[in-house]
Amino acid sequence: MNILDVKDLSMHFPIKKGLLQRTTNVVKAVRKVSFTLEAGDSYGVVGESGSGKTTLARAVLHLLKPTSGKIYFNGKNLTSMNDEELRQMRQHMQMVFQDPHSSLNPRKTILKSVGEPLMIFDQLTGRELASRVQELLELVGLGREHMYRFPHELSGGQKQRVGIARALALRPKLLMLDEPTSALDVSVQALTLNLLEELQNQLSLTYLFISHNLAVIRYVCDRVAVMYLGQIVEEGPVDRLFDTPAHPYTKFLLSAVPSPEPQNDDDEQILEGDIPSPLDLPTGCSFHTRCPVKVGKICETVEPVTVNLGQAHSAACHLCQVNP
Amino acid sequence: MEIKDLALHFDTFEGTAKVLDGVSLSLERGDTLGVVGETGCGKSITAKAILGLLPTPPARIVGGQILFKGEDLLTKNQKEIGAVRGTRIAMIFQDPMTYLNPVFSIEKQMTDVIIRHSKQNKKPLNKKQARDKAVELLESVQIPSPAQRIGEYPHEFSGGMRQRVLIAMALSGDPELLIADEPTTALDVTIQAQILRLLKGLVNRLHLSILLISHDLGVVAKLCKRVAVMYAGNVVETSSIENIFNSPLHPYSKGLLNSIPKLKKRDATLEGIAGSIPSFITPPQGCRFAPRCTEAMELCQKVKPVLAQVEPGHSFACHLYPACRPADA
Amino acid sequence: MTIKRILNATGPDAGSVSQSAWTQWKEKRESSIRDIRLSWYLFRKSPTSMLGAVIVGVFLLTVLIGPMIVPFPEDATGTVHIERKLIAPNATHFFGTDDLGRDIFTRVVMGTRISMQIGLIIILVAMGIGVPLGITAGYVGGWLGETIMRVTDMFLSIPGRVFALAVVGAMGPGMVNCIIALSVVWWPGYVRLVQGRTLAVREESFVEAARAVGAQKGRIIFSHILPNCSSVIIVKASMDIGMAILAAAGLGFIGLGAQPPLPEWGVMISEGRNFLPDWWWYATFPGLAIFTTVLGFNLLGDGLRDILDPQSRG
Repeated sequence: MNILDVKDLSMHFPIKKGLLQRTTNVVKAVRKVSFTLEAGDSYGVVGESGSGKTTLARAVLHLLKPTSGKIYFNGKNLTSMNDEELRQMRQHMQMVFQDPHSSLNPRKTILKSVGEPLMIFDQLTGRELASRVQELLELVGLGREHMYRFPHELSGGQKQRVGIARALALRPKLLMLDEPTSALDVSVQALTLNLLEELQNQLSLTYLFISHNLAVIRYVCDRVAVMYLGQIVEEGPVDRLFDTPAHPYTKFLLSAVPSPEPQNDDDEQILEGDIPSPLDLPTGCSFHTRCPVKVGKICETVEPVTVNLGQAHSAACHLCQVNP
Repeated sequence: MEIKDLALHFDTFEGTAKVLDGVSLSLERGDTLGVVGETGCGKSITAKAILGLLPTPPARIVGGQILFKGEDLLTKNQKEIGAVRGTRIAMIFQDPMTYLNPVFSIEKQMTDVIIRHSKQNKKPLNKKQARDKAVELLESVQIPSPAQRIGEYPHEFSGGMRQRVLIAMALSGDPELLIADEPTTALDVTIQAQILRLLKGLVNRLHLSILLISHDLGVVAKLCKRVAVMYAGNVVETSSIENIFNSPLHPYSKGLLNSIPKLKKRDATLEGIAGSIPSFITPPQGCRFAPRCTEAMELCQKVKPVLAQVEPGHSFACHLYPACRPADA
Repeated sequence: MTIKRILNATGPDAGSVSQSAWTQWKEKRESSIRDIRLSWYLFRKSPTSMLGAVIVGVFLLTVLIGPMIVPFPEDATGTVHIERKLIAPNATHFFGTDDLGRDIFTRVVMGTRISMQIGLIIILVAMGIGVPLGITAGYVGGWLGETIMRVTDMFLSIPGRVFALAVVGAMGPGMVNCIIALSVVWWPGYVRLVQGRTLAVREESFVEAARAVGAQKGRIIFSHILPNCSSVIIVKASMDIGMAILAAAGLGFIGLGAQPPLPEWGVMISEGRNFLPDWWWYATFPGLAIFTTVLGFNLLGDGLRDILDPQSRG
């Protein structure tokens, strides 16, 4: 049984205007996204702004209520649960947030922040709480001396480790990581990624790793999905997708990454234009407004279906149909 | 431009932080230099010090010179520096949204800047001429339909467009040097590629010199020919872009390169650099990187290494190279 | 543990399990102590804030020990000493005497207690009503939030003094009614302030993180939102106490607040106004007392805002 099964998940945000709060427009942040995770996977989700990747994580975790679709965690249907059942499910799925500087309550000590889930679910207090929190802090490479400090006294890397410790407090099986190292320096990022890998092995965790940084995804994940304007445009094993990308957007994304190797030259292709606003989605294939290899009317009018390219690699592009 | 041994202190509640400890950089006309470093290395502060943008009660320049075409900018008073800003040296910053006033149209903001610079350059323009120049500038940064869009407001532009507007405003005074402080950090990867290409084109077309501050070596590699690596208020290595990747000399540069995940293939393991930056209030005597350095020797704790040239265009400051010992040590 | 080895090249080893209670307490409070020292340092830097703090300090001291040290305690209530009426300020009567021979210094000092009572009760009641409504409106939102805000708006649109006048007019004069009237006028300001702050705090990452670890609504409100609203509430409250005292004195001046013979400052000015300018001390000293007190609280509030505002702490 898969640990996570997402079927046709959509997240729409109505825009309400006026005194009577009439819905004037809808932001379709996530549109019919489906994927599955097996226990122990490291699944990466890559995209730029407007891709919907952050919203996706929150929808899976039910921090936002999905507009439609189904989410199964270990076979249990999350979308049919009520608030209290969902709250109980939180013990099994947790999240590490992006900005270490704002994901910790500035008024609470590290002990209180990391211990919060333990106080809520296990009703721990006093010495028991302190010793369990100390264990968690040591797991991420911090120590007892950090317990009574406030967030502003810690560095960004340390704060992020506190966030990881907090997420692990209830021994979850699924961990969602929303750009966990984007706000960190490169040297600290490397240490944090290594930590995450060790923790995954030690605690048998499944990761859903969201990032805009393709190199980090390559380092951490075995499978990856590329998102654009709320849809998965390509999905597959990391090495295969990065070495032989099928979707035009993936190809441009890969070539746009400024690589430290200076051998890349001006024969690279640069994607023109801006990312369309999610308020005003293009018809047909959402990438056609910027796609230099579009084949014509079909790209503007018909939404491409996901084509299986073999070896668990799939892409949603009309061109992929043409090449068998 | 040449920065010689710039030293800067910051007065804080807990003491005086010796933030810049003898920074030396140089940049030729038409050259592109990238300054790379992590949080706290002092790269942004150095950039702001050039244009006198630091608040001088807590910040104090305690030594060194900033020579721009032979003149020391540190000896200039407020008025003289004001004349340099925008017209001879221009600067663009990280987050385009906060650097544009949301309640004024782009036209108003650009014409204001253009008129002011034109007065400083002793060739004053009126409103109509300024507007025409603004449209021209917007076109040069590849904003589509500039004549129509100039009347719009910042929130109607996307992030990449806003940064282009800021670049256009920076160019309006015909500067010779452009300082760019993390100009693409807040932008998406595909938009970042566009902006970098634009900046590269400007260097070629206008013979513009660029000082690029970034924490991302990849971005620096795309745009710059030379790079300076900074750590804890010191420049630890300067070299050409090729050399920093092929043969980094300073242990910090090596550590940094080993921490960057590669796109082309998965690394075996990234190294990272353990520890954290030293306190600026009680900095280590000797080399500031010594506490974290895997190759530290006893000498490193006691004596601070100076920048010494290993081969033309490649210098670093580390006791692994005997010439880095200061003359009196 | 390999993780620890990788991450802490210079990390200290884990603290020993058994420590004396004192060291443990110190360890727990170390960060808070450092915070307080920094706040004090920043506060000290501003002369106006220090002035405000001194004034408020003197005020509070007077409230506490005033009645014990006044030279003529019986003058605070209805004694009459016609023989020593309207004496100018001298060594025995620092502020002079009024037309009934009562020592004005004593009455001003006793008046601090009354002012403190009035100011404190008004603000506490206003906070007690306004803060919960504000947090509810901000966090829960929806039609409940809208309703709260519109009712608040209605109250805010009525001029405060006029409204208080109307309430007292309907209920009759007296200190208690004056307090009730002013409390009714004061709470909407807190709703507005707290609702705005709640809206901001609600969007912060750590609130989302709290939900992700399973916190219920009540926990989030009390444990996360309220503490992060406290700075703005404290700043507003400290300035408001001064303004509430002023408002109560205003009502006392027109005879609708505290009633004579209570030594309330507004009442004293009202009585003394007939004796200007020849017997100037009668109205002047209570007036100076109001002026200084309100100034002190305003300066203190300003100073607190400067140190509590997260941005200025850099």
